Amino acid sequence: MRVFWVLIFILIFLVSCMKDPKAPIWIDPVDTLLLNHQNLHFKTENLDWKAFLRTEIQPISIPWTYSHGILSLSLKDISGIVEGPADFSFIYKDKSYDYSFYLKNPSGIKLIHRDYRSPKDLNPDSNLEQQKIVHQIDIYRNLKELPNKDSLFEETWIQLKPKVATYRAIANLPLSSFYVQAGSAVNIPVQSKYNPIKEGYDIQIGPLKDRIGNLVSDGTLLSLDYGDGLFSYHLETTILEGYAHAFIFAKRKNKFTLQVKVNETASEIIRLNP
Amino acid sequence: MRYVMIFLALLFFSFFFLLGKTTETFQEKPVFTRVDSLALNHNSFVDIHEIRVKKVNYPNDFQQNRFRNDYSNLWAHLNDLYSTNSVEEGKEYYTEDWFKNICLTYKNPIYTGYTREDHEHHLYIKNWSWDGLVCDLIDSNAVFSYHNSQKLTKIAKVNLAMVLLLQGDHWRIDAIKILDQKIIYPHSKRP
Repeated sequence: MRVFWVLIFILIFLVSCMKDPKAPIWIDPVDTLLLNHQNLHFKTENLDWKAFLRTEIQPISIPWTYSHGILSLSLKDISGIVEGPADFSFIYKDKSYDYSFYLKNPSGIKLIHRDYRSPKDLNPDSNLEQQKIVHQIDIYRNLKELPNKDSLFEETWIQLKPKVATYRAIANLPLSSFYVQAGSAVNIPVQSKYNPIKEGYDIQIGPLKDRIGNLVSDGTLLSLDYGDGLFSYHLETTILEGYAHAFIFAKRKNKFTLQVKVNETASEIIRLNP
Repeated sequence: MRYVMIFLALLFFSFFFLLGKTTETFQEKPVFTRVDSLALNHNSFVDIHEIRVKKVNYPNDFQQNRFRNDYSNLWAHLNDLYSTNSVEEGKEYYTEDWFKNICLTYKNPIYTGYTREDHEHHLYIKNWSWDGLVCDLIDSNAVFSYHNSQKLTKIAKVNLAMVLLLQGDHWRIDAIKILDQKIIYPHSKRP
C-alpha cells in the first residue's frame, strides 16, 4: 500500500513539473523571406513539432530535420506561393508559436499577359469600338504591376480596323479571338443577259459590299421579285464570295421587271428584255 | 435436371453479382444537387463603392447583388482553405488555373487549428468588362480576424487587389495581390 502512495506522489510530482514547451528560437530571422529553397534553422528541444508555412491563402506542411538542438525546415519542395504576409507556425499538442514575415517568390517567374476584349463580335454596321482590359499575373496567380505603369489594371476603348477577319488579342491563345464581321450591303448591282439556248435570263448580282468595302458574308439570303404585269414571282438565292447567280425562265421571250433585295437594301427596278 | 436448375440459378445470381462489381459508383454529386453549407453559413458584409471616373461599364443592381453573394461565398471558401487546405471544397469558386496552383503544394487536408474570419469588404470595381465576364477590383480595408486553436491572435485591415472571372455559375477567383496588411489588434510595436 505504501508503495502505491509513493507511486501516486511521484506521478503528481512529475505532472506538476511538466511545463509548456519552450518557444523555438529562429536563428536566422528575416523580415522578407525569398523562397529560393534555402533551409531555415530554429533552436528548440526535440519535440514532435508540426511545422507549417501559412500564407494568407493556404497552410503548407513543411518537413523538418533535427540535429544538435537545431531544427531545420526544408523549403525545397515548396512552390506556387501567393505572395504576402505569412507565418511559420510550430504546433505541439495545443501550444503553437508563430513567426511572421513577408513571403516572396524568387525573381524570374514567368509572367502571363492577360488581355480581355469585349464585345467579341463586331460589325461595321454598328460599332467598331472595343473594350480592352489588361493585367499581368505570374504563373502562381500573383497579380503583378503592368510594365512601365504604376497600376495593376488598365482599361482602354480601342477603335478596330474595319477589315473583316478573325483576330487574336494574344497571339498564341485561341480563346482570346475576336471577330470583325462584314456589314450589310449598301448597293446591289444587277446584270442580266438573255440566253437563247437555255431560253431565259442569266442574272448576275454583285459584287455586294458593305459601307467599308468588305464583301458581304457568304450565305446571305437574296430575294428576287419579278413579274410580267399579270403574274409576280419570287426567287431566293444566296451569296458566295460577294456574287450570286440566278436564272429566270422566259420561253416565250417574256418581258419582266426585276428587283433584288438583301435585308433592308433593294436594287433599282430592272427591265428584262430579250 | 436438378443440377441444371442449380446451374441456372447460379448463373442468374452471378449475373447480378458481377453487374454490381462492374458498376462504378461515382461519389461526387453534380453541382446543382449539392448544398454548399460553408457558403450558406457565411454572410460577410460586402459593400460596393461606385467610382465613375472614366468610361467604365458598371454592373447593374442585379449583377451587383449576384457579385456580392458570390464574393461572400468565395471568402467562406478562402477562409476554409486558409484553415484546412482542403482545396476541393471551394472549387466552384476557383478558376482552373487558380485550382491547379493551390494543388501544387497540396497533399491532404490538414488540421492546423488556425482560422480566419472576414468581417467587412469595401469593393472598388476598377474594371467591369462589357460582356460582364471579367472584374478587376480593389478590396479596401477588408477586416479579418485570426484565431489559433485557443484565442484571438490578431485583427487586421487588409488591402487587396483581385481578378475574378464569371465562369459557369459563379464568379471565380483568378489572381490576387495582397497590397498591405495593417494589424489593429493587438496594439503592439510591430508596424
